[in-house]
Amino acid sequence: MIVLQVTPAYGQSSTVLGSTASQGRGLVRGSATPVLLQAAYLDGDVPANKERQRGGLRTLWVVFAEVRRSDIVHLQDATSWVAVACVLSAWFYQRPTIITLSRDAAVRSRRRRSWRGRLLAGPAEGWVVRAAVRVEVADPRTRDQMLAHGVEPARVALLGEEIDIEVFRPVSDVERTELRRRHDLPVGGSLVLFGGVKPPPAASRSYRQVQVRHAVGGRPPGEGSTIVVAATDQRHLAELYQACDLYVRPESAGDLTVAAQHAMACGLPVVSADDLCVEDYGLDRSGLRLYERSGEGLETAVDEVLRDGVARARMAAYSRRTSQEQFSWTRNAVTYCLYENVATRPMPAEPVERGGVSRQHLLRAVMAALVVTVGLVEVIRGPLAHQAALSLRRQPERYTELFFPRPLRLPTEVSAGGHLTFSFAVSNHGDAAGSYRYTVTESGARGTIQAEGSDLQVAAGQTVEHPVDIPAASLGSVLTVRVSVAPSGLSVAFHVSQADR
Amino acid sequence: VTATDHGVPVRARLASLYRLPPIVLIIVFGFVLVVSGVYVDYLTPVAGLVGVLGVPVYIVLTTTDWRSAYWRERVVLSVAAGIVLVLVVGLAANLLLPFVGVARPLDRAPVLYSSSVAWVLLWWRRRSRWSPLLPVLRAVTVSRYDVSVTVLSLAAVLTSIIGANRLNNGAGSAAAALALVFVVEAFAVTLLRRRRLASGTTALVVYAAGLALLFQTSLRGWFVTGHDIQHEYYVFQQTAAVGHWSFANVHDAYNACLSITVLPTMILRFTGVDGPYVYKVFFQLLFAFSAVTAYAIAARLLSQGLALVAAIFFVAFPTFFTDMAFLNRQEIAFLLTGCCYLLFLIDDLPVHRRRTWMAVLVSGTIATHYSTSYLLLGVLAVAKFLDVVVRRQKERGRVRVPRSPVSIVVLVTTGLLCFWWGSGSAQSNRHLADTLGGVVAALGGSAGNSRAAGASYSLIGVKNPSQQQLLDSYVRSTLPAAASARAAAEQVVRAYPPRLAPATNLPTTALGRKLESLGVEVSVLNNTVRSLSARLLQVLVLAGLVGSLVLRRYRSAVPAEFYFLAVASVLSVGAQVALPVISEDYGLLRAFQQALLVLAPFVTIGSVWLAGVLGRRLASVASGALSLVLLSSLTGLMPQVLGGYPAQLTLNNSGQYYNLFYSSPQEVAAARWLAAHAPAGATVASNSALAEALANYVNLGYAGDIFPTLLVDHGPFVFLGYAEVHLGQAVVTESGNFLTYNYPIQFLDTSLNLVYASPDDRIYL
Repeated sequence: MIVLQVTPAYGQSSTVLGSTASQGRGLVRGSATPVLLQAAYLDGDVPANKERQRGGLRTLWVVFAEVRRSDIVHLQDATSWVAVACVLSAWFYQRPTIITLSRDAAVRSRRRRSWRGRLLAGPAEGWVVRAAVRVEVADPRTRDQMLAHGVEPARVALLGEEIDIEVFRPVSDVERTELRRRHDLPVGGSLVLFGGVKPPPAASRSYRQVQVRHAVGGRPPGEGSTIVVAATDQRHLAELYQACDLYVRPESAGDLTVAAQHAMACGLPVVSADDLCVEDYGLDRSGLRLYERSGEGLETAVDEVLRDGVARARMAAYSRRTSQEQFSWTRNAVTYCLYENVATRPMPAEPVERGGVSRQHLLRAVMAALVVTVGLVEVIRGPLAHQAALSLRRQPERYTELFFPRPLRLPTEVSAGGHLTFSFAVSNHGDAAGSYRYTVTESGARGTIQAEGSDLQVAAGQTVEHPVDIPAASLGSVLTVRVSVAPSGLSVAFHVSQADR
Repeated sequence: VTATDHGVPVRARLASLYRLPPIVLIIVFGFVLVVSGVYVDYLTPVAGLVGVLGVPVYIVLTTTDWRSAYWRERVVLSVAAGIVLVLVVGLAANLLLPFVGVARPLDRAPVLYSSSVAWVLLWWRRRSRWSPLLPVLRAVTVSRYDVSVTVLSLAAVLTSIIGANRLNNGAGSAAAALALVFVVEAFAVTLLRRRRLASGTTALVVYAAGLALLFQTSLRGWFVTGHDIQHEYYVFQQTAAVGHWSFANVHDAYNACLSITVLPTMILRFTGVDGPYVYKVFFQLLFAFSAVTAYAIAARLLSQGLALVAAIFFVAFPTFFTDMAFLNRQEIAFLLTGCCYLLFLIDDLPVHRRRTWMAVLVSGTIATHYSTSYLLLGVLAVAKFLDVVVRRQKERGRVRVPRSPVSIVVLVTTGLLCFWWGSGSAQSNRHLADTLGGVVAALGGSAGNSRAAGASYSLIGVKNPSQQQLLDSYVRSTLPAAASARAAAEQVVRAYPPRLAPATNLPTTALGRKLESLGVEVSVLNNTVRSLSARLLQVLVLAGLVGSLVLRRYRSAVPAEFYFLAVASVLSVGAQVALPVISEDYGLLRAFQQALLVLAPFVTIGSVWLAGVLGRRLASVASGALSLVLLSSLTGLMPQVLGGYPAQLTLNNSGQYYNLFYSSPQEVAAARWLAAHAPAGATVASNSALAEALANYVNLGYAGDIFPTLLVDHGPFVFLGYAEVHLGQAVVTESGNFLTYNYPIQFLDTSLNLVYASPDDRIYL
């Protein structure tokens, strides 16, 4: 089985990618043995992929190719155009789609305010999640969001972030001391692991704050009493957590993040803001120390827990138990048997005989129509415009007319030595002014002579009449007067009878 | 707010709302376009077509109790009924509105208002029977093959339009040839995949392929191009110009045809297109349904695949795509006639209702084209006679249940209507009287040199005069009776002896040369295939008639009354061969095309029967292959690819039809010059084909042909067209045959003043 996992971002420090990777490992631990395709490179938001993504159609092609060789498509977001392309191609190739939406993605979606976001991303998200056979969300609010998009309730599953509880596990006091030494942390006193983005100043407090940041090597500078440490990998991260005594989840931390889950798995008591998160995750209020949102509540709560060893032990046990029950990969492995379930579920058969047009053919027809339309527009506007006009519009026909403007008044007879007076006209139906060389000749039984010849300038679309007054030559009893025009090669003529001397 | 109590219902409401407006908007927009008279390319014509024809067709389609009739049958019958309704409404407005002070009842406003009122009343009257169409359309399931062949056939239509336009603009013929390739390919794919296709798709392919073939001809030229269409356009213009139709507008039989007077005027008022394009586009859109009718008839008798083969035989017959586009009155008449024939087979409908339909359709045919209605009534009468005689013998002593949609009452009533309508236009009945007189004379053995055009392809061994004999006959007919004038004319003939011009073939192509290197002469090949195909069709008709009696599977499939109809059709064609005087006014090939509506299934049965020596399975394959080969050859695709055959108008800017019938901008400019410079009462001489075209631009009398003997002591203007000026050739029509001879242009140069010259045209005085 091949599962195409598409992540919205790319990078070792990405929590989401970490989650994805862990999901992958969890999957491998399950009964299935899938091949995972980390398809984050498809996303153009990643700087490293900008170059690759420049040709949008090419990326689209890659998406289609990847989806085609996969059995299941697993998306990590629902609003990027890559996600839309994945769902489109999954629809095209009849592949089941699973979507896992992290809180980040859901919050980004909820906070969308721009017209572009509302007009494009919102409907796109709705379409994408409706197309999925299963939508996994991290919290109840996201679940409601999905339901509001019209996803069937049975398809939405509430699923927390998942962690490796074998790596993130409680340690004894001895081990904790050893870990503090190993990582240059204060051995004496209490260390409080702070889960927020910006820890509050704690210069006067009886404990030291620790903040863990993801970084590659080195140790970021500290801020006052806060010790900032950098984790280089999962095991390092676990050891830093295990070195602490307490985990603080301030109200600014948002929901129950992966960091909180890691801390709980390490058996750290949790001091948390009393907010919706507790209800959302169904946490037991007695297993946590909750504080009010206002002012000094946090400091008081931390002090109380640090002072009360019995309560701390009870809370530590609760943390570990909760992580085992809710955040364990063991559960993930079971959940991700979903892949197998989804893959083995009979998809709607592709109707090719009489049951209807297959989606592939419908889409091909649409794409062919698009190509034809684009081609036609290109033809009409591009270098082939002339050919297009030739095929679709009447082209002007360019020609010349030569005629006698008064055909009924042409001379019919002329006396000897008399003059022939008449006029001829040239109409220019070309696209540019023309210079017409005309000659007037007289012909009779005794030969032909040229009576007049010159150039006549005629503008495009114009008719010019030219009067002629020539002496009649004595060439026979019947004289033929001919007017010829070059370069068109046209001529008109009339016959005159005359008395021959 | 949760999705279940607020969000979803709101979304559902919004969804239902946004589904509605596009339809409403389109209808409103189309209505505004038509009523306001604002012309927007493509949109206004489409909206106008929906207004004038789409609405009545829709009403008939959705408010008729069709029982279990197939959808293809419902559609073609609805289209035919829609046309009749438009004719009735137009005629009623034309006759009644003058009584309420509307002097020009066929102007835009009266036509729009009267049609709208009529459609609303029709809807109101039949609203209780309405059965919505949308659920039916939604229930339609199509496979990818349906999509493929549909796209292919629509590509054929599009390419044929492009091909014709390119030729009109002086570009090459590749697109036009490609359109034929698409047509053949669409038919071939449909035949191969017929079991995976919905029957509606096959009908759609037949329609689109037929339309592509028609557009190839009809869209040639930016003006009116063709033979009969020139005069058809003239009577149409007369009706449109005075905003009123009357027998007195133009005193000839054409004017009695409502299909080329009232119908195009109504379409013109709704769509606002240029006059010629009413014929060039809209009439072809309607006539293409006749191919579907032929398919529907065949599908009642044969399997889906063989029915398609029959439809291919129908559209492959050259008259369908070379001449019918120039015979607009007959296009409508053929469609109505085909529906009359179809009624013989739709036994799902009760007989009394079929007879009502028959009366309506035959009446429509009478008002549409006099000659077609004569032939139709004749065929129906003979078929009825045979039916009565045979069934009386067979069912003696038993109670007879009426089965035929033709009753004596219908025949008599429509016959009287035909006579009454013809009496309105003296010319129509005069045509009939002249023809009947000619028949009597021919039966008495005094037919002279009369010979049906196309009779050379006949199986019947009629002795035909040669082309030179016909030309000599024509020359003799031009000599004046008076002795002195006759002597001068004979002197001209001696000075400029008329000689037939050799036929000019297309140059042999590279593929043709390769074939010739293998020992196959392409000109011989093309000629052989053509002449053989004509005879083969006749053999297959006869074989089919016999085969449907002999073969058990067809004996039960073909109802007796339809068989009699086929026999009557064969007799009608045979009569034209045996009595050529009939075909001079009608045309043998047109008669055969009309008969093919009935005979195409028998052609197919004949081909399957004769190919039965290959085995039953291969027989069907061979029949399909034969139809495709004939289509490739007769449409001109094969000659175009190989060369060595006269050029066809649909694929080249040369050839007999191009020389004769193609109206170029130069020709129109010359005609307009003549209109501006000729004095009132002057006359103009030209070849007969050109004369019809000139009549649309110049209000001058026609002085006759331009053969030199007719121009001795000549006073009128003489108009020479493309063929005379460029090729030095002229064409005359003798006994329904075109004769091309070398035209002595020097005769005019020495005896008349050349007063106008353009590269393609000259005018002498």
